[in-house]
Amino acid sequence: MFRYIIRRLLQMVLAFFGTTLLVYWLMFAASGDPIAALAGEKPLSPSVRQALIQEFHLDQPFIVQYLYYMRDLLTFDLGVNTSGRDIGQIVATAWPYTLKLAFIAFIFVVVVGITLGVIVAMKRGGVFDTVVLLLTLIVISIPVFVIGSTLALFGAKWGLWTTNVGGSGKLLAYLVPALVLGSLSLATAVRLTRSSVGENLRADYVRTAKSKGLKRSRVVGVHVLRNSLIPVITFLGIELGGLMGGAIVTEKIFNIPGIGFELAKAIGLEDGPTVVTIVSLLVIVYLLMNLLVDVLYAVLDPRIRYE
Amino acid sequence: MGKRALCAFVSMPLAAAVLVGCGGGDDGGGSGEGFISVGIGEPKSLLVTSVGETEGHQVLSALYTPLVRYNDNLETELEAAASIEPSEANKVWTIKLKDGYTFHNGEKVTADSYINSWNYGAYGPNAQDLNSYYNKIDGYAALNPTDGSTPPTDRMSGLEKVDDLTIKVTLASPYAAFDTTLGYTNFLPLPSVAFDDTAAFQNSPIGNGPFKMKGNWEHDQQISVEAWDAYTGTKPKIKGVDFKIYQDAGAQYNDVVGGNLDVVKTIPTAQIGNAKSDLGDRFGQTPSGSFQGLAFPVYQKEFEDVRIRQAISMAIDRTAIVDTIFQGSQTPATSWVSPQFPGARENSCGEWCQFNPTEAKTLYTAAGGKDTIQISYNADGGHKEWIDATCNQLATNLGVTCTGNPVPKFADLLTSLSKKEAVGLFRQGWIPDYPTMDNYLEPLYSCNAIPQPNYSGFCDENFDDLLKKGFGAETAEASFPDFQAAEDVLAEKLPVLPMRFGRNNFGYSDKVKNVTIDLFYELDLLAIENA
Repeated sequence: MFRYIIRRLLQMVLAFFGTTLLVYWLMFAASGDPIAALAGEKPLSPSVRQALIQEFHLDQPFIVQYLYYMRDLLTFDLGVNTSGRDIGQIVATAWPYTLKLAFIAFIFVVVVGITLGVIVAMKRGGVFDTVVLLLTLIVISIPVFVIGSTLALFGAKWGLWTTNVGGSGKLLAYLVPALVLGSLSLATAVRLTRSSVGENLRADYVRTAKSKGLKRSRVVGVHVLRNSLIPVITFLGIELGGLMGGAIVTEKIFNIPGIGFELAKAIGLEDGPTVVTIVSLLVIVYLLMNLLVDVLYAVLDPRIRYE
Repeated sequence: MGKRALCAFVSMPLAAAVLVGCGGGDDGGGSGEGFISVGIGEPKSLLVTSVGETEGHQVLSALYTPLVRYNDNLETELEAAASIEPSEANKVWTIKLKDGYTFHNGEKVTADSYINSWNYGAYGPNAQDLNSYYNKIDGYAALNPTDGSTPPTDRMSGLEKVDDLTIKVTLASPYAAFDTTLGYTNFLPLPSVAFDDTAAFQNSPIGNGPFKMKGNWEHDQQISVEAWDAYTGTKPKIKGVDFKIYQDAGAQYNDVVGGNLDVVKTIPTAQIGNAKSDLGDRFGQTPSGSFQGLAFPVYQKEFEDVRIRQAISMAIDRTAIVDTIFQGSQTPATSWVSPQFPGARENSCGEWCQFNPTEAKTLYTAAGGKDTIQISYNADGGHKEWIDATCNQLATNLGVTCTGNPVPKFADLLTSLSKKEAVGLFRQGWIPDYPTMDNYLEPLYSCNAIPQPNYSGFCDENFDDLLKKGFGAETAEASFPDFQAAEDVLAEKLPVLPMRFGRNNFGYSDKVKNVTIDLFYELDLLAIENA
């Protein structure tokens, strides 16, 4: 197990360099003129243009720019963005917002999603099952910005909840945006759990356990649930990675200055260094999540061994 | 990890979230009694020489007092300056400062505070956004060599300190309205501490204005300022302002409706329709100087015949677009200079900006216009709806096929223009910085503003001569006829079709009154009061 984790970590280093190179190249290829994008519709004077080009090495070929970036990154200098703000600081202030949002959404998805999924699987074909399936179908088919804007409007009109989460600073304020953000994953989690549990309920070992006379709670809790969780965990692991990457739409509607918002802003400004830094960090998060999921497989299913 | 352990692992943070979340009500995060909250976007910078956008400008309007201010009729009035006198045919200007002004840190505001600030902004290698705003001052060119070499000096020869409170400014060429330009951000002073570490300074700028910083700039969250007791000028009627930073104007609007924010400076077009019912008389509209037009690239030969440009202009029903797409949140433009500006006239475009489909069709056919028209625009600015509507009108009224051509960003449009690609008509916007007619005319249509921001490439000797004559006039009033004549050249040649002037559509909570936003999108913080 230990050797497996070490091997995976080493692979992560390679994956990290590969993705940063790719992202840097994409940013480089997609950017027309970062300085014009920064200036907007009021042009900068030629001398200022020249000074900025030199500062950000924009006159250098791609590989030289990338090496400059990597040199700074490896010395833990994340550099400044094109408007002169420290990128490390941007990430450090933005990430806590996204983390709070992501964790509340994630807990909501895990607890409500798995519980509902198990219940509807046990009562397959019943009224409750049909209603839940219908509801999840509705949630999956409505775009997240519609749900978000509608809830924000209700909150504002009747003062039910704050729509300015970034400015309020209270954890409670994240509840509604987290519901919005998690709703889609929740619906998927319910459906995934339902089918997985349903399958396992018909498995031979469950029939055996039942005929042994085991308590129902033990049959469901240990024999069914544990075996059903593997696909769900896979899904949740990837979802958590996605949630941590910030939610551009939800963060915008509820005014949360998180990672998603910073990323969207940086892309708009063709701010290469910021985009690459944030995306690289997201890559690390994804890689770690994947590793965690793989390790959890072994915990859930003793048949899975890593050498 | 067994099932139970897993369960505990999951439910622990949930319990914490609920426990923490349950404590306390929601106070909206206000700074205290007498403070008002104003929604803004994250400023790019708070250093006076680098604030070229409206969000940062609004914050600086609290922290700094400019040399001159504009009254309701947009006439220039002295503020931090005691007198501003021209001599040598408007080429040399002597600015006398009012005595008694100090910075928030106690440093006296002297001629040096201004001269050092302006030199810093004009020095090319400092890469300040407002660098080009100093280009009328003699010696600017020496600080900004175009060949990439290091400038031989970092001081403009045109700035001279006469005594502690007197600055003598020599311009490169005469300019009758130079005193009016002194109201813009780039002519604000900086204390000497600013130059030690500009990056640190702009996190908590020190100014000479009615408000001082309360704490640091909390990026992406808020900037808080409080009324400064020792201020010698006109004092504000409020205790302070929390500039709350939003990602989105829609969220600001929701917060004003919900009573968690006092002022939203821009209500999104989508919400204009219900703003009157949501806010009642707390929904306000004032004219804005922002100009939207459609430009013809001069290199595209299909638009060379002026009759084609006239026909296209007459085929557009500006009022219909404003009413249906913008729900009356903007005004149809029939001139190139906002009619609010001193000296400017309404409808200088004349018959060419009046909707006249029959005449348009006849003219277009007579001139042999092509049967396809393309309009290019940047897709990130919410222009799609009105460009499509314009295209539909052209298609109906001229019998052509018209297509909108979105490009991702305005910068991409500029790249296409510089390569002389066939972009068709393209949208062009402009927000003036100070109330002089030339602030619209010179940057957008004069020969020496090519390629930027005169993106269409229009160059007319007669037009440039009239501008030059206007700059050389004895007084600002005396320059009006020349600038008007220059605008008439635009009406004759139609290089850019006026489409709309903007409006400030703002809303406020019942906790404030006397809310006004001027032509330059600045909320008047000295007038606003607690209700």
